[in-house]
Amino acid sequence: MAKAFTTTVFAANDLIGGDSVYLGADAWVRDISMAEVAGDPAEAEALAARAALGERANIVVGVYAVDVSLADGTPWPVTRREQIKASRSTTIPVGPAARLDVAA
Amino acid sequence: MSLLFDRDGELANPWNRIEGDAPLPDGAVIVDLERLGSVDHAPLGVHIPNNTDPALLVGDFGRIALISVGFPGFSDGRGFSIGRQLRALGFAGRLRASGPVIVDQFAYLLECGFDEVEIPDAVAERQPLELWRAALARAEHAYQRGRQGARSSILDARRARNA
Amino acid sequence: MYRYDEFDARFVKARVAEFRDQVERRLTGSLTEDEFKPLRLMNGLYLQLHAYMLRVAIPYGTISSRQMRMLAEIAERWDRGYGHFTTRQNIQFNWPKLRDVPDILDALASVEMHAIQTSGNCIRNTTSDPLAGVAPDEIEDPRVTCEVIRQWSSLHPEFTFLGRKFKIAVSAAEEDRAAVATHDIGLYIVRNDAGEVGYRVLVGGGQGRTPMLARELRAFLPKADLLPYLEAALRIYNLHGRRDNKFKARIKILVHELGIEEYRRQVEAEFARIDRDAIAAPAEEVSRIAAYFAPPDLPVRPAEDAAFERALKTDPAFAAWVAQNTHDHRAQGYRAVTVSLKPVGGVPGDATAEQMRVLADLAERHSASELRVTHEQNIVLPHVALAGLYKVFRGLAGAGLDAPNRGLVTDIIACPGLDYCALATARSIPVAQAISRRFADPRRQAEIGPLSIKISGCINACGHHHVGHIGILGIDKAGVESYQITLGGHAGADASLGERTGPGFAYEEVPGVIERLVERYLELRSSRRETFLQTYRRVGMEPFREALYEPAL
Ligand code: SF4
Repeated sequence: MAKAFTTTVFAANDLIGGDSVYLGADAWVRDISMAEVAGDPAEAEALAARAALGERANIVVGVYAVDVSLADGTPWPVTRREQIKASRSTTIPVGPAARLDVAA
Repeated sequence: MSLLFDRDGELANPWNRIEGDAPLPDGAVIVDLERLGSVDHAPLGVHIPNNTDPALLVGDFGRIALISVGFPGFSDGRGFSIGRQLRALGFAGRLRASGPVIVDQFAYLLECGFDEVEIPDAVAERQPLELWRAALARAEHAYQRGRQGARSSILDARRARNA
Repeated sequence: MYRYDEFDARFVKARVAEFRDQVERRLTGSLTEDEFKPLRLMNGLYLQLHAYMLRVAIPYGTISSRQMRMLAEIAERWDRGYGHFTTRQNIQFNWPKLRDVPDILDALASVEMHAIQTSGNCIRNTTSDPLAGVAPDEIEDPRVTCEVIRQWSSLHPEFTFLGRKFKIAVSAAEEDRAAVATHDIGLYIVRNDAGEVGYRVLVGGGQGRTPMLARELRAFLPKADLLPYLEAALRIYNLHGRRDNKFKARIKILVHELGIEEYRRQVEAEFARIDRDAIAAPAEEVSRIAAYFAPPDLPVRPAEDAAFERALKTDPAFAAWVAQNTHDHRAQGYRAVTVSLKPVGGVPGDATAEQMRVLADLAERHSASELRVTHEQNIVLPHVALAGLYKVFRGLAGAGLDAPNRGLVTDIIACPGLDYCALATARSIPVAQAISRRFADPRRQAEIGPLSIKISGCINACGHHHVGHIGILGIDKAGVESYQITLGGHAGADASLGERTGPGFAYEEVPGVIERLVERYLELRSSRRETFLQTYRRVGMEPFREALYEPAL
């Protein structure tokens, strides 16, 4: 049984920088709110094909689909893991990591 | 179909790989392990997958001129140990590594007893012979003592220094 | 400590050049990601949630002041100003760029360091006792064996593409401070009845989703046979270890499936056939290495120091720290100091570049320029004179490194977890921080006594939760973090694996859960001298389970 379709964006990491990136309208973007959203399986398939091109062109690595909700009009992941990744920072409140993430 | 080479460069491949029970042509042939017991041919080679116990071949060493060891993927390193075992068991013929191995493994293959490498064309396209040569030239020293000394042994170099 | 000769230096340099070339080939597409990944892993480079992560080897946890300064420089120049010391005595940088990594490796090579085999399916950094060469209870310095193994296992032609990672630990002391039984191969340096020194060899320990304690493979292995025997043991594993399932590929599964007797039979048969002379480290090579581990030339000191005694009396914070964070040294008038990287509410194992420099300076002035990284994610200054202890303490205090909590409830081990790690199913660092804040009061910590809490952010168990007195494992339940608790694990010579209490708890609940367990222990213990672990071993799971689930069940 296929699971019910969820709105999806495509995530990967930038090959050179390693940062988390998302497939946007015409480029890979760092901000998930700029990501292209697939609303149905056909759109997801089309996005997956485009994302694979990015991998083949050695721009990004590790492409995968991320379930998102569109509650605020822009995509935001539903799982904790993807929320942390999309925030591009740790959730660590104190310590060098926290201090420097703010600065960076 | 494939590219065959050793440390000195590309090799002509006189060996015919015989699939299954196909009739044997004249000249050098490589047969599957299952068929080895029933063929009488020279020059004779055998291909073994990397879950074969090398000890099974000892009785045939006298009539086998080449053993080809399958590397189903470069990250499956069983073939390295098989190479070592075949040499330890006394196999003195030609040892071939066959499969999609990568340039960074060339020195290791030689040190584990392999003489030659056969890679599929798809790998050869991205990793042409120059890259294999360059990788070998760069691999200068090893902490272990390898068979063919692709890399020279640091243990021996230290001994020489202290002598 | 060990110093590179020209061959070691060239070897590491060649490896950096090779990696530079591999990065180039990756960027041009000559190497696919599938091909590049194992190569970068073998050079310590992971791709994590937010960025690449570079794990630098600190062989058997020993590091010099000069090397520590270089780590500080790398943190500032190519990362975000800090690093994370790990449970395998290494350090990780969390934010490097792929393009910069060859330069980082060059910088490391300039101080005789590398990242070789800190990841990947190969033989990893050999770990050891952080008090090696210092502890009064050891037979000999285990780092000589570690260094012999380090060299033998570096780019081993046969064992660089194993079915899975392979970890070796060595201990030579009565008290096992290296968690030997949780390693793929564990070596105890022992003396046999004839008085000869050799190895007791254990095999098949490991954590992860199927935790197992190692079994004895050989009761006594003569020293000269070490490498040939390891070679035989690894060969059997390489040939017959499972490759069909990543989670069953460690040697512990092979040993379990074959049975220890059959595995031993195969190893011994292979060992009998092997050309030992070609493989064994020549005796003169072993002595060459051993010479580097001769005890440092420490000035002779009186057993007591008046200024030290005075400081103990006038500064209670110092006295508490000395009592908790220093260890006997075999030289008279010296102590080994544990520098806690677990300030209350801090990130276990993290150190800023600034802190690394403070540590390097203090080691240079007071500890023969030597430091150690422990598998509890702390730092040891191994050779501090009593007369210098107060200065060291003040120096550490100035950098926020003076937590007097070694082995106490706030000395928490935590893996990076979901804040960094791509494999994680839950966060671990913020959980550690919340627990640490909950138990901030030093008097309360002292009252509770020895208690090790270990947290892993997924079943891979990098936070060693199976051997925590209290273990915490974060899992994912439909996108939400949930935490399972285990009790009674222990990593010493009498090692044991923790047992699960029952259903897991939500992220926010964890500090309260730990508090209930601790309160129950305080009620149950027979005296102040009975530790959490002893109490648990005496009374068992039930009373603790009641403390956690009573209202619901
Ligand atoms: S235990 Fe899991 S989450 Fe933690 S560092 Fe290891 S792999 Fe990552």
